[in-house]
Amino acid sequence: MLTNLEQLDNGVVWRIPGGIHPPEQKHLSNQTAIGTLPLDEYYYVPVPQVGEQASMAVAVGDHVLKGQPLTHGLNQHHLPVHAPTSGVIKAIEPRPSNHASGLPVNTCVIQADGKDSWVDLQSASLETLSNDDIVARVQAAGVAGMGGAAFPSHIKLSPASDIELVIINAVECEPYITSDDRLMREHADKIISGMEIIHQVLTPQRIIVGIEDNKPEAADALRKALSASKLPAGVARVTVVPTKYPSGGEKQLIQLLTGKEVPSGAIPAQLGILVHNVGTCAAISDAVLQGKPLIERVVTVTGGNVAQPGNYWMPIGTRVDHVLKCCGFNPEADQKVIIGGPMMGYTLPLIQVPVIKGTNCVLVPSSAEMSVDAKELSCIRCTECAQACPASLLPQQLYWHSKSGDYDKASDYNLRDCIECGCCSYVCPSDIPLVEYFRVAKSAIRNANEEKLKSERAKQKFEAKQARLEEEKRQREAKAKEAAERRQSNMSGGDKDAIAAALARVQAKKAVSAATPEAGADRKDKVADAVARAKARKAAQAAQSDSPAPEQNQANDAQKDKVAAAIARAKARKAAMQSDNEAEVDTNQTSAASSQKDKVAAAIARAKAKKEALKQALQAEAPTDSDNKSADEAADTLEPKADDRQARIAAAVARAKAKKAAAKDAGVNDPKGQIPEQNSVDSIAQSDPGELSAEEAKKARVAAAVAKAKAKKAAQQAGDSKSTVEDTQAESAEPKPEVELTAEEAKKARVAAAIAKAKAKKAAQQAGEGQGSDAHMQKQPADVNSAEPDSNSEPADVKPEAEPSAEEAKKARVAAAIAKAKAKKAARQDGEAQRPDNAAPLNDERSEAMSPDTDQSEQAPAQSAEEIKKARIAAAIAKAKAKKAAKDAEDKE
Amino acid sequence: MSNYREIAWQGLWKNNPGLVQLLGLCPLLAVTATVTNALGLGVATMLVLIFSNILVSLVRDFVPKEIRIPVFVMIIAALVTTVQLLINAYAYGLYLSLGIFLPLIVTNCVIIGRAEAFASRNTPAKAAFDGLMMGLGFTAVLVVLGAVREILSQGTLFAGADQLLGSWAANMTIQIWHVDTSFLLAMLPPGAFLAMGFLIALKNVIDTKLQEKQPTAEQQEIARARITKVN
Amino acid sequence: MAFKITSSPHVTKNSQTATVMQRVILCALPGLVVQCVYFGWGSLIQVLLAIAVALVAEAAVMKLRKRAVGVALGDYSAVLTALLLGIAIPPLAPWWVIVIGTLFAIVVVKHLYGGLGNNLFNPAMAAYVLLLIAYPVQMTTWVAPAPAAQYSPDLLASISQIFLPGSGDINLFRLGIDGTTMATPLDTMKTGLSMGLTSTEVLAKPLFDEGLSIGWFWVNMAYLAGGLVMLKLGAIRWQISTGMLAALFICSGIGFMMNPDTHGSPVFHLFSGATMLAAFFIATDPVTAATSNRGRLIFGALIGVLVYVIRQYGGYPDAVAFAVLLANLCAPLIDYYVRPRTYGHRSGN
Repeated sequence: MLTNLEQLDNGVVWRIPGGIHPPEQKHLSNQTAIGTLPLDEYYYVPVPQVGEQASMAVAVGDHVLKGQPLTHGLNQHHLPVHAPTSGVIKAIEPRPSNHASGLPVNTCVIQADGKDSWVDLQSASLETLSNDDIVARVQAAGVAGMGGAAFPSHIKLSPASDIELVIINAVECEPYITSDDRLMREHADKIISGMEIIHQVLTPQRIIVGIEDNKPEAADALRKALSASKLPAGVARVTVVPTKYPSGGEKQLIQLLTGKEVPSGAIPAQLGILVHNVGTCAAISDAVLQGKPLIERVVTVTGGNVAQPGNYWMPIGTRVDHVLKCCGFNPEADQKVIIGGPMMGYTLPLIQVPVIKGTNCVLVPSSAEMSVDAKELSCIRCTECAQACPASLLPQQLYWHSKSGDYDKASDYNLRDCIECGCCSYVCPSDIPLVEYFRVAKSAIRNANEEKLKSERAKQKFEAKQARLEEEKRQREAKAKEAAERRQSNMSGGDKDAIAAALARVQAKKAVSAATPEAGADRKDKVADAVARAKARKAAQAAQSDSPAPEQNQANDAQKDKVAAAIARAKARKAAMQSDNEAEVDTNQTSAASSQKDKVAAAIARAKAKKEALKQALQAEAPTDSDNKSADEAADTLEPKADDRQARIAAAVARAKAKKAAAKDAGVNDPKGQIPEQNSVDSIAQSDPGELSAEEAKKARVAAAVAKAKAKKAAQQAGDSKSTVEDTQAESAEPKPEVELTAEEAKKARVAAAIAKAKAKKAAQQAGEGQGSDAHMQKQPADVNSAEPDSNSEPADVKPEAEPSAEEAKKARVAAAIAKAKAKKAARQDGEAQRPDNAAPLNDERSEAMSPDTDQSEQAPAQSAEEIKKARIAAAIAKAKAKKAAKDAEDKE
Repeated sequence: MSNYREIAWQGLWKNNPGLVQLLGLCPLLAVTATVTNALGLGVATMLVLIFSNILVSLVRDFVPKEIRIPVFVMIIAALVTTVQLLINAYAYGLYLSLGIFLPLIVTNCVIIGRAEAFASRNTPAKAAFDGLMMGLGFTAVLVVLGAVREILSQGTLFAGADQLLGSWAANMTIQIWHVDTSFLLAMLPPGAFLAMGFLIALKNVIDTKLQEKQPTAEQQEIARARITKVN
Repeated sequence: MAFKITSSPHVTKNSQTATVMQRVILCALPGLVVQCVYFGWGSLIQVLLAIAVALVAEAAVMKLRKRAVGVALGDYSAVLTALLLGIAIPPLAPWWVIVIGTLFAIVVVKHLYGGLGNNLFNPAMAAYVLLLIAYPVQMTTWVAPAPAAQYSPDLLASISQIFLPGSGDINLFRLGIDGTTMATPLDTMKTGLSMGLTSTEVLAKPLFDEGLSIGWFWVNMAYLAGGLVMLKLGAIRWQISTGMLAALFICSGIGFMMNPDTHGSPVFHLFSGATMLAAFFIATDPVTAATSNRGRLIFGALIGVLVYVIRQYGGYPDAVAFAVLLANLCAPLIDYYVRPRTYGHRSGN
């Protein structure tokens, strides 16, 4: 709100604090009229807004006319740029910018064709235009503040608040610069017409032109033009202010002419004041009345090292080196090229940069004019800087705190109100570069604020994510609990032991999946594995055929257990160690079983548990019956521990198997029904002090895969969508009821097969380690591979028929070799198909092992050693199987 | 035994109560006008320190944590009274020249500080040794400071030693030089502060020189590629 | 072609610290001359001796600090310190007094605190106080002013008194025309008032000439003139000097109005002792004074008040040194609380 219109009308001038009086040096360039320079060959027009707020309206190779818009605006902030002359677009690429850093900016390079032909212009008269039209024309012409800041003028012409006073800045307080001076002397009418346009748009109460008293001719010219203008009387006037630097600063000029101060952090529009440069006024007039875009401006070329100093009309985009060449540049050693004046201008690192809309002066001083860089001495606290500061700051305190990095204190002393005018550095007797310190401090503060914002956001994101994960976890747990409860309620005659066993199995599996798989395994282990597997099969079979009678099962297995116990003891211990001990279900199995039997049973149970855990990790679904069986096999591979617990476990396992078999027989294919059994086995396995080694687990998985594959093959043979799992025990020619597999189970079988294959590949990679065992290990996956769903016709005959004869074993070996070759092919296909299945639940290792192994096996056909090993492995597997079969046959007898 | 060495090193140099911990500066600056006074106060402080450390260490397990400070001060006060009476009886001249600073040993932060920081957490043997070493360190600083001040102001050493050590010591006085006008400042507290400051600076200089002599581990130079220019 | 890159602004006023210091030194010379006229060559000898010692000490310390010696010597700050100390010390004090004082000022007060721009206390004044406490006798033995003295020391006598103390009797030069020992006017006033004389009676003593102390009045006038020249040249700003003199004037005026018999008049206070020297040369030391304009006024006023209080009620006859040191202590506090209002902020920010 202006309350001092009277004072304005009387031309009252207030005072600004501080300020300096540097030597003006304006006579160098204001004696001659504004000239023009010859056309340059190339023009660089920076297009910095392209990408964010604008897009290119032309492309490389286009021919453009003078004044043709080069960019196409997307929103209100877009400031169009136009071609300064007619020519061809040579390139649109980053070029060094007209900035102290010389950093590249997207630039449109125009090769002038010398004709300088204009595009068609649309003139208009002020009466016919609405305010929106005027603003649109100003925007279309790309008019920006010509005082140096290059703020888009159309935004200033549509302010949010009412404007009561428009100040036209004709002060030009910096030494050397005279572009506005000459413009006023020669084109005062244009300036006044610009003021008329502004008056029409903003309807301020007053328009004051502030001008320094060192430009009397310009002031006269303006007054004359003003008296001839169409503005209402008394609205506009020219007020002369005393010459002092920095009177031309926006805030200082407002204080000079109105005595008011712009609040810190606010813009003058909030006071109802708007400030425009005289050059901008002229450009507005051109834009609105003639439709001429802003493509050239008056630039002062001055300094001691240029032969023809003066003012020149320069197209926007003229290269500075062309300008200097045309004006007779005599560079000396350590030459500085300054864009702007000596107080606030910046030096250019290179001069192949264009003149832009805010460039008002090119200054090339000689060393006699501008002081040599003096050494910075210590501050003597003379506070000349505080006397000179127009913002009434304490530069000395700001210096102390900026120098020591204490940016909080510096902000406390109102560092952000520094306008970087340079008065303090000018007067400092110790030659301290104060403004430089302030700039560094300001950017450090800005960086720190941005960092803080970023870390705030990151913290919020992190907290949100944590909350989300916890929520998901909670939901998952609730769901699982719910499912478990449902399962438990649906369980048919499930023992507590069965549940416990299943739980133990789950946990064992978890432990297994966490354990690192070992590639090498003892040969002995493998043999024991096979033996154990056979035993498990037998036990399961017995459990199936007989009623669930632990004692009975144990009696059947007694002999087998005796044999296997000694071999598998160590393995069981190792495997048990790694299983999870969370399940504390005491199975309370009958303690009447013999210790050996218990051990075996325990091993079985452990293996089962691990396998189950792995499978569940894979798919989190109910495992298949075949899995159970494979787990049995795996459990067989484990060395049973010599204690009652294991016996109990074994008993439970056997019971579970029997139950499952019974359920399967009955045709009940309830996945949930299987879980209690599994759980029981798992729990039993868990109750062991974990001795399962990764190796063992792996073997268990392999065995599971084998079984699964077999089941799948059988299913396919049966021509059913639902594949029936043929128990591995079927190999031993023991009657085994077919069991129906659900799709899930089949999938699980496939997965297990894939896992086994991966393991094989991995083992194959680690050639040279434990040949025999490797061979054994690798043989098994080969079997698995051969049993892949796609390669149906596998000689699952690879799986050695349980004919207790050496002949059979040999056949098995041969078959194994064949199977291996097939397995390789299948593995490759399988690897691609299985990877998505395997990736998530399994170790990354496995999936990685899958593909690289596959690739390697494909890519290195010449790895004869590997081949040999694989053959050996296959042979060993077959041998083991044969042995097992033989044993089974033996036992049967 | 290396623990005792460590205690000794701490008390005498590394954690010297006068030069490093800067405790007990009041008597330190007030009575060190002459070497005799300084020595007397130093010995008195050392005795109190040793016995207070022993006593505090003996009762450390029985004193509740919340009232430990008053208990320690009581112990120290009892000891100081004893020492004061002893000096009153056997070195009356010294008693007179020390004046108020003798009973003020109670408030000497060295004693309560060591009681709190060391004696209340260690065995009596160690506490006693610590008291001895701290006391020696303190006395050493007192004596050096006293010597400096006495030389600067009066040009003598051990003037008035008979008051502390007996009449035989009257001949101990060494006259380094004779001045008509003594540098009065050295005898006054400002001079004590200045001399103290220089002593601390000297100790720091010695420490720095000793550190430089130590073999330093070779620092791995991490070669970093840094981009400093844009064009 | 590569161009030189510098940061704006690219021009400076080209004023140097050395220039400021030189101006101050030059403006102090008239006062020194007048002092020598009244009190003999002693002051000049002290000043020269002090300058020599100061330069040597500064060079030595800068070498110890591994800094450029020439830069430090070239800014004339050590010379100024030495000059002020030499003026403040009694003309015939023995040589070791000024040597010890100068060494303390340059080495301890200035460089041990960080060198030029970083010292907390005015070096000359801190050294003066040190000497006053250390050698009270030598520091209070002034020479009687020439017009009122029985014996005035000539150049040779001054030299021999300073460099060979004890060779002659310094008290010879303290005798007035009537054979009575003369002290400084402030000393005389203090002693007289404590003995029960009224100020008028004290002023009747031969040391005074119609209420103005002989010699000291013109010395102060000379320093005042030098100070005004400095103001005109812009070497100092007016706030501190005006603050100090105004405060002293007001305080002594109030005291004088309350009880003229036991208080000296404002004119007496303003023109005796080192008042003018302090107001224009000592208190205006930029390094140790407050920084903002309002702060400087407060700083100067504080000095004035303290000078009066110590002179009137304190134990020392002249209080300038103590007042300046105490105000140096308060300068950071003044700076903290007194800040100019920045453009665009309401007062209080």
